Amino acid sequence: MTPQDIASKLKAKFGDKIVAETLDVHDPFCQVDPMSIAEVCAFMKDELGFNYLRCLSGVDYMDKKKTTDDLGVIYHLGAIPDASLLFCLKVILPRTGAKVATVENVWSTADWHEREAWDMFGIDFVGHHNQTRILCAEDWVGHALRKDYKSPDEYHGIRNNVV
Amino acid sequence: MVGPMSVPLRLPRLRKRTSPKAMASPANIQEINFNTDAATRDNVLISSLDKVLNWTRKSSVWPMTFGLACCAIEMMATGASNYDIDRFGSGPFRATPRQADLMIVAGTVSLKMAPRVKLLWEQMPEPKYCIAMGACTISGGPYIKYGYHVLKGVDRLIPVDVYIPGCPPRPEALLEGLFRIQEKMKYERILDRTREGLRPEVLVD
Repeated sequence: MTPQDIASKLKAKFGDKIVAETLDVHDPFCQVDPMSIAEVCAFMKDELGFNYLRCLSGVDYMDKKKTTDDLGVIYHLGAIPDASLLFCLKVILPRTGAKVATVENVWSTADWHEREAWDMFGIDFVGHHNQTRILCAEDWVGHALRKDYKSPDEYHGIRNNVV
Repeated sequence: MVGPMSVPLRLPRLRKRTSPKAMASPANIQEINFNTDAATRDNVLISSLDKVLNWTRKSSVWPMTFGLACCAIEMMATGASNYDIDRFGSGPFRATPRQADLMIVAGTVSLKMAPRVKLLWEQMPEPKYCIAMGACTISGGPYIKYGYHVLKGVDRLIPVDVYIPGCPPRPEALLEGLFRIQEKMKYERILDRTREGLRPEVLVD
């Protein structure tokens, strides 16, 4: 199954919920509407055989010139044992109020990945059963991998930033 | 100093001080009759309490089993047979702070871990010593500028006796740090334990 096949099957099934596609790159991907990602992923798993979520990553697309300040979530999908079956899904989210549907009901492994993306980027996974911080302390303020993040000067009475 | 029953405090009568030299003189030994019993003569040592206690203390420094990052790997290597920290009486890594004398903070201390490190330190009984092992523990190391959640030096949290630089320090360096701790222990005084007062003497070579 080539990336072109996968993209055409997705478009036939979901229509304009598939926002864009880029297929002539190393990791071919489709950009999906954020609130439809769960059903797209369920289709990918049940109909196309992507039974393995290789990685779920948060991204901050802000650049130095601030031409864009969007956040994103990227889903690397794979299959076991067919290692040649690879595809990516991508979701672009506004910086304030970034919301995307959870896929933890499709692949259970998404549970911790989504908690990490929440912890580091502040992306809200709607429907996640336990969306709490996974790496930083529970009372941590802010989301550390956002490019405009400033670390706190003090944490529980401990001076933090070196001047 | 008056207790609830108003008993006046009675001080022990002080004897006239005898110099150590006079006590060890042959005449004196004759007097207390050590010569009569060979077993007694061969098994009695005269020393100061400070010296004996410090010697026992420095010969059994028990560190806490406590590793945070890659420095802990070097600490484990120091404990293993190649470098063999047991040669210097510091083998048993205790699994509880209540049995430990020495805390080797080996690795990056994150701000999430910092309150736990402090709690463990406070659970250790006195007298206790701390080694800051490696660049992260000394100052934050490579994370000093952009490490948003890294404690910039464990001495912001607990008092440190010996700093061992390196990233990570080799086992020999950790052993040298242990020797510095032992050197420091040699000069402890039971009735006058001002640890601050001892620090400069020991650390200046």
